Amino acid sequence: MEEEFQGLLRGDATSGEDFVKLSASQGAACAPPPGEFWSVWDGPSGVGGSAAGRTPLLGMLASIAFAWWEPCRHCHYHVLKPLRLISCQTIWCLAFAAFVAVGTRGIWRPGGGFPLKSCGRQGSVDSILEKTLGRPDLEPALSAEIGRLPSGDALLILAPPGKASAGLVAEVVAYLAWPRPVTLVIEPVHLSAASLLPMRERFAAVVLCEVPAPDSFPAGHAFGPALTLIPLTPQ
Amino acid sequence: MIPLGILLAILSIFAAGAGATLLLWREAQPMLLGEMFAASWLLGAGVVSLLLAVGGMLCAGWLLIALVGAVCFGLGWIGWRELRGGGRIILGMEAAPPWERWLSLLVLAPIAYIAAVSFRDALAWDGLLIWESKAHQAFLSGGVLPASVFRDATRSWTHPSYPLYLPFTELWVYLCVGDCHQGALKSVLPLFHIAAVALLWSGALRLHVRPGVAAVTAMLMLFIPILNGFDWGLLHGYADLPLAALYLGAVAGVLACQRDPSPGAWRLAAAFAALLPWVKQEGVILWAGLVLQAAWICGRRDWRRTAGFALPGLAVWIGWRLAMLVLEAPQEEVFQPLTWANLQAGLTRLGTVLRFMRYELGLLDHWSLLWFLTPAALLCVALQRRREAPVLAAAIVLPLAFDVIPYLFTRLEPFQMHVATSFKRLALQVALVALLSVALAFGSRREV
Repeated sequence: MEEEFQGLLRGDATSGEDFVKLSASQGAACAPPPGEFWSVWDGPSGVGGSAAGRTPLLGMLASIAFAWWEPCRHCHYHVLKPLRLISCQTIWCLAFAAFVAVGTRGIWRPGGGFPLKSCGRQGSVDSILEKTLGRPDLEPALSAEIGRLPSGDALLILAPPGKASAGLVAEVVAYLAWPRPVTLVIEPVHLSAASLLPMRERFAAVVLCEVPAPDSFPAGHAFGPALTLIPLTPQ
Repeated sequence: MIPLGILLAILSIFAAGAGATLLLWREAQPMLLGEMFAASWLLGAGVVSLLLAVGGMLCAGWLLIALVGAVCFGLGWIGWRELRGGGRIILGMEAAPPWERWLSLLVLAPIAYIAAVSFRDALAWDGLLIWESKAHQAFLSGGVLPASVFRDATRSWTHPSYPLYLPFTELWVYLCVGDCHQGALKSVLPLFHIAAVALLWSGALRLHVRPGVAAVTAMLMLFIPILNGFDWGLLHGYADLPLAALYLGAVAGVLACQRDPSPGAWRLAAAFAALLPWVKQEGVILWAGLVLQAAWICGRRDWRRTAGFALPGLAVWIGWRLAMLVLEAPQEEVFQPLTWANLQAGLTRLGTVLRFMRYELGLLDHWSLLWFLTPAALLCVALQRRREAPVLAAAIVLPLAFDVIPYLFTRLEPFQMHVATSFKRLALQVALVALLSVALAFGSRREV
């Protein structure tokens, strides 16, 4: 369950259906991750454990409230004040230390992004294309191919739904094609010889992102197995 | 030539920001070094992006570059004169014992980390396709975003009506470098992160937090994974951290003025707040919350001060909405109209949205213990009977509460996907203020 949430958070979920299923059993889905925060706070003393149910936060708040409570005015300066100072600072120091300890895992964890391959002109576009399509330095070839199409003519970009990488590649192609108009279709498509004619009337080329090209389509320029640009007009 | 262009862009932004900051400050009380640095960068980026947007209506190309450059360095020169005329900048730790001064070096840890990893990941997703793409398009059009971009229905997924604080700051880098060089941006974007660290440190100092605690809290930014490039953050070109930094600047300024009335800090806070709607649409929510807090602090008698705080942001927001109207930008179709029927339908989602928000805020892999410490810190600040407590609580709770509303009206299906992909970024916008509350709870003496 938690992994599915994590999948959605990473943006690589195949569809929202999983999430709908999740919401049907939200009680479990929204439960905090076991064995993480709780293991930090559920100590044998029971500060955040049994005494405060399963809510360590309440335990911590109770500790703080105790630190500021004033049961006896006579002992205020000699006993309570130093005790409060020490207890409050100890609580906060422990909290800071736990914060650092838990956060450290995030620092050393590899990022979920696209490793930057070069700091060049289109370094980011190149890095995205390399990670998603598996080939380096695709941007110049792709831009050149788009540039050979009749200027001002529109581009049709097709990608299947639920595949984040295909959607991203489709949008990157649209980015590179600017200011050429684009029609981005992220829906299930069934290409056939019959779909070629209406395409030829409206578009200079069709770009297939993780969409197989039927044999009846003209040969295109393949940029790895997952991206094909098929010009529809004579160049 | 590219490093020189990057240097020129950074210097001009700092010059514009330093000039604007010192002009706004203008009072006997000295500025803190951290707030001077952060305000110079954040306001400088605001000045440059607004100049490019307004100047772009009059001219383009070299003329536009010359105009913006002249204003930037002109403001820098005015700032220099202000400094020579008696303006003072201090570190803010003059009375601190030596060990606390040494401890303050911890502030450098997140800065060093972000400098080390800024070239790790590429710009991606929204960072490239929503924000950088506008800089790219404007650069290819001589520094001006063509009106056709706003009407381009074929690229509506790039959200043409999003504001231009970050895209036009990136555009200025491109104009100085002379090319759409994405590598150049990787050198500039970390400065927003460094400004956020500096602002958190100096904001805590301004609120009389002990220097050691202020430094440790600023260092904690390093241990919030989502702020440091986990998944999609500033390293990938997103605008949420600049928004969070501006919000922190505004909140810290308002809190400082509540404690020690300072016209300079108030004007600076108003300037930070004014830029919020210029960064992202959610900035309007943050700005509205700040205006409410300002009104609460000033009271009815001092309504002019509240109006002075609110008007710049209102002008920026209305100006941008008017520009979108004139440019005939199509309305974003992400949300349903605000009607009673839609609200009733939306309320059925409330439970799910709240549960997901609770789940997200409890994710240790995103936030470490931040959202567990924040309620404790707010309680502590309240028990200390500090005047800042209500405003600080409102600054954190109000935006998070308002953030529920868009999810009730979203058209995106399933709506859970919308919550899952965007709520963490909304929470990030108030995360720095939450850290400030932790510093306040721990680092200052009790007020009676």
